[in-house]
Amino acid sequence: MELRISDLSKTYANGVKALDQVSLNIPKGMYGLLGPNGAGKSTLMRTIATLQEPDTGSIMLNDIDVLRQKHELRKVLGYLPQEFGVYPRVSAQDLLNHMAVLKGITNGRERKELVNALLERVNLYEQRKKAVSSFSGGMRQRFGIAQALIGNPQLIIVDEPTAGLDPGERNRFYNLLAEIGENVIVILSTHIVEDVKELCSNMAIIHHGKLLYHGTPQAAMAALEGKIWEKQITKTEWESYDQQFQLISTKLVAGQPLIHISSDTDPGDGFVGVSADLEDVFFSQVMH
Amino acid sequence: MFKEFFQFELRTRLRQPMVYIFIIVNFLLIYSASVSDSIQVGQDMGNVNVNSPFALMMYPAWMTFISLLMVTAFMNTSALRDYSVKYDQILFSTPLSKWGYLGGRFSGAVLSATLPAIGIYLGIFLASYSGWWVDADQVGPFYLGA
Repeated sequence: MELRISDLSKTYANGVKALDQVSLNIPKGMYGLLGPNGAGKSTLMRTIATLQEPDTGSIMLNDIDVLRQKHELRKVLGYLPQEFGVYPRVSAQDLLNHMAVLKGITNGRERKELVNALLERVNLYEQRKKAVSSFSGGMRQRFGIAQALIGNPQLIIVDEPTAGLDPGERNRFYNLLAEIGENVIVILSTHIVEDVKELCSNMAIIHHGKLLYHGTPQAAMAALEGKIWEKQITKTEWESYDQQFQLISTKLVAGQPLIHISSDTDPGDGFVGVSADLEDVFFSQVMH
Repeated sequence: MFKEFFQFELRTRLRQPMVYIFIIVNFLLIYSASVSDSIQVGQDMGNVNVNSPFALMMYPAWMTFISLLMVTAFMNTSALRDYSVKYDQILFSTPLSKWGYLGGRFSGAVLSATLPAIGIYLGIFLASYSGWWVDADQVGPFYLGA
């Protein structure tokens, strides 16, 4: 099972190049799509989810041509959009039941069992009679994943699912995703580097619609090993360092900037070598 | 698919206050026009029986003008609901059939848009049993067939 994306391009009417010749092979398991806001992640995911058309390129899931056999793809797709609302005054159980009919589960008893099992799985069974529109952010996201899981999808797309969740809810959500991701393709887009590191066996970095990196997070970090140097400086020094070195990130630690630079050789000047983490990979890819 | 959207639309409608508000509005209009000489919907009914076939025909006919606004309110929200609540992306990534979706939604909305007319008949029906306001000789016998 594999999702093959080749030469996908999309330019919006206002001239924004959201996707620029993106080619990717996405295997079974959790796949992280990393990029800053506005990088083209959502465009890519919406295109795979058959919600919008690319200008050029093709997408194949096994032998389903995603752009032509939309109906076929939708049968094996679970999609959780970045932002969604629900009909007012409709309970979780009713809405899931409705979705199950739309996904082609016509047998009433089978559907009822499925809905209850899904509600159990995402830990919403107790709240099944409550309106989804009254749910908190985390509960609503869990409802979203339950909805995406109806009908044993082969391809699950989740677009920035943890935006607005507190750390506890985020962990629960990820445990759920990791369980699912063992047998199917799960594409997870995020701008949070930690998420990808914790969950994904493969990843891609997108910026300005271009694919900057794809491979395993470990390989990406290994490639930068020994090239990342760190130094604590004062705010007034920052500008001169910015001109002198290739800064890849500046973090504030106790109010003072902690800078990371990339350099093949020891820059001296009080810099200390640190092991590269995924954040360094992300910033060094995005900055250049 | 058609059945599911049709039923879902009806259930959604019956759970919202709009249908009931419109039934009450229609009821109050026609009831008060039937029992009082100083309130008039459409034309002056004069000495015509409150529940005469003529009234049963004319009141709904006049009310179609007001109901047009009500129907608009129903169809409008039905057509735009998925987008206005932002459910469109989830909905359109499912393998739904176009005609099941559009047809079911439309038929459900049409049926629920006709429900407020119940208020009109309810108004006439109850007016014919409101002996304290309506003279008994202005009420004819009740025929369901009329």
